[in-house]
Formats: sequence, C-alpha cells, structure tokens
Amino acid sequence: MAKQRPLSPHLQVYKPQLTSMMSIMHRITGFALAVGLIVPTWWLVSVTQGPDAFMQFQEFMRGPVGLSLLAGWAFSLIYHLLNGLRHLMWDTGRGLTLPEVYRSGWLVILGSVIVTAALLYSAYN
Amino acid sequence: MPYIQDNEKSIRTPLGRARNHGSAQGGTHHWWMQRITSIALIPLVIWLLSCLDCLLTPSFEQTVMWLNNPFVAVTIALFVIVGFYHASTGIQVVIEDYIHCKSAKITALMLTHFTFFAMAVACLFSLLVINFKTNPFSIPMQEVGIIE
Ligand code: HEM
Repeated sequence: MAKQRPLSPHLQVYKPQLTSMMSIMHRITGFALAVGLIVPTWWLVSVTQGPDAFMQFQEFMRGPVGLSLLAGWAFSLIYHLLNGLRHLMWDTGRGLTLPEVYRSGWLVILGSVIVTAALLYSAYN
Repeated sequence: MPYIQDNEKSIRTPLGRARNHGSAQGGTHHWWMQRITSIALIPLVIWLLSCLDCLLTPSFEQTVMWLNNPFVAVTIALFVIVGFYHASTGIQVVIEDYIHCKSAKITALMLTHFTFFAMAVACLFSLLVINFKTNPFSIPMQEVGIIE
C-alpha cells in the first residue's frame, strides 16, 4: 500500500511565475523544434526527387501556412538556443541565485524577441 | 532488479537493500550526451538560422549547386546527426515524464527513436545522392537524371 503522504497541490493552484513558465517553454519549443525537423527532411528528399517535387515543397513553404510554421520554428529555435545557454550556465554552477535567475530569464525573453524580429525582418525584406 | 517494498516491518537498512544489486552504470550518460549535443548545436543552428532563406528563394538548380558545396553538405550532415540525436533523446525525456503506462511508454519511445533515426538516414542519403549523382562542373545535370 502506498503511504498516505501529503501530496503537493495541483499545478493549477500555483501562481504562474517567470521561472516555471520559461521552464515549460523550453520543453514546448524543444518538442516543436523536433517535430519541425520534418521540414528540412522533406526539403532534402525533395531535391533528390527532381524539380517538380522541389517546387511543391517551395510552394508550400512560401504559402501562409509554410511561412507561419517557419517563423514559429525560427522563434522556437532562438528561444531554445538562448534558454539552452542559460541551462548550460547553470550546469557550471553559475547564475543560480534568485535575482540572477530572474535577470537571465528576462534577458532570454528580450533577446529572443529582438533576434527573431531582426531575423524575420531581414529575411522578408 | 527486484524491487523490495519499503515497509516498516523490514529491518534492512537502505544501504543493505541497495547493495549487490549493482548499478546500470549509465546514470549520467543521457544527461551528458544532451549537454554535448547542446554545445555542438550552438554554432550549427546559428549557421542554420543565417540561411533560413535558402529553403524559400533559390531555384532548384541553385539549391543543387549550393548543396554540392562540401562545406554546406558537411555542415548540414553534422546538424542532422547531432540535431536528430538531441531531438530524439530530448523527446525521450518528455515521454518518460508524462507517459506512465509501461507498454504505452515503450511503444512511444520506440516509435520516436525509429522515426528520428529514419528521418536522419533519409537526410544523409539525400545529401549523398545530391552530391554524387550530380557534377555541376563537368556533366550537365540533365545527363545524370537530376533534371528532366
Ligand atoms: C534542432 C534543434 C533542437 C531541437 C529539435 C531540440 C530539442 C530538444 C528537446 C525535445 C529537449 C527536451 C526538452 C525537455 O526535456 O524538457 C531539449 C532539451 C535541451 N536542449 Fe534542445 N533542441 C534543439 C537545439 C538546442 C540548442 C541549439 C541548444 C543550445 C544551447 C539546446 C539546448 C538544450 C538543453 C540544455 C536541453 C536540456 C534542458 C534540461 O536539462 O531540462 N537545444 N532540446
């Protein structure tokens, strides 16, 4: 029989915090990036199938769905990259005090928005 | 390893229970590989982001030429090997955290690893086909069947 230990309250009763939200965002972006690897796979395979298959790929990617997916993938990658650097910093034992965790957190959010905006701006112009 | 119930009646100490069961010897392997692949991915994805446009604008011929550049082909191959490994082992952690039914968990883990491995092989094989079935410098691409 399981012991009747007190259980931690359900997730829903916790106030959302920057730290927990960024943590789950790392997981969500990682998952989205992994699923998104289907795009470069399709791209490379389409090149081996000749110009028609390749045009089909490009038509899809240039359409509204393709462009939104690409923009979402780019943002996910930039967030995951910057927050991943934050993880790697923590692994060396640095930046673990609460004020530092919040500072690096806001830095990652700000950085992701700015870098993504700059990238999309330069790509679409 | 047999799981021994931690009940109050047992007089065995935790150390006594753990002894002689050995360890899997791989406790940190997964974590360590995730760190190595993370670091290797930093330069690779920065390069990837800098050429996101290469998916959308170049023509078929330009794309084939571009992929025939050894630097480009090798960098993409490295990204495929490291990135797909990082991705499938990353998804593995997510599955282990959220799926508790043993048979569903094992099925999901196998499907994940099989899918990512197959996609990585498809990418690498495509790179080989593109690089060795075409020779942009001497043989017109029509002759090797890449262009109709
Ligand atoms: C195609 C690119 C990438 C994909 C598909 C991807 C995918 C994933 C996935 C699915 C996870 C597991 C998430 C979790 O356990 O919550 C993960 C974790 C991680 N990723 Fe990535 N990732 C990519 C690029 C990167 C890059 C460039 C970095 C560089 C810093 C990075 C750093 C990390 C780290 C440090 C973790 C572990 C986080 C932890 O310990 O909780 N990833 N990634």
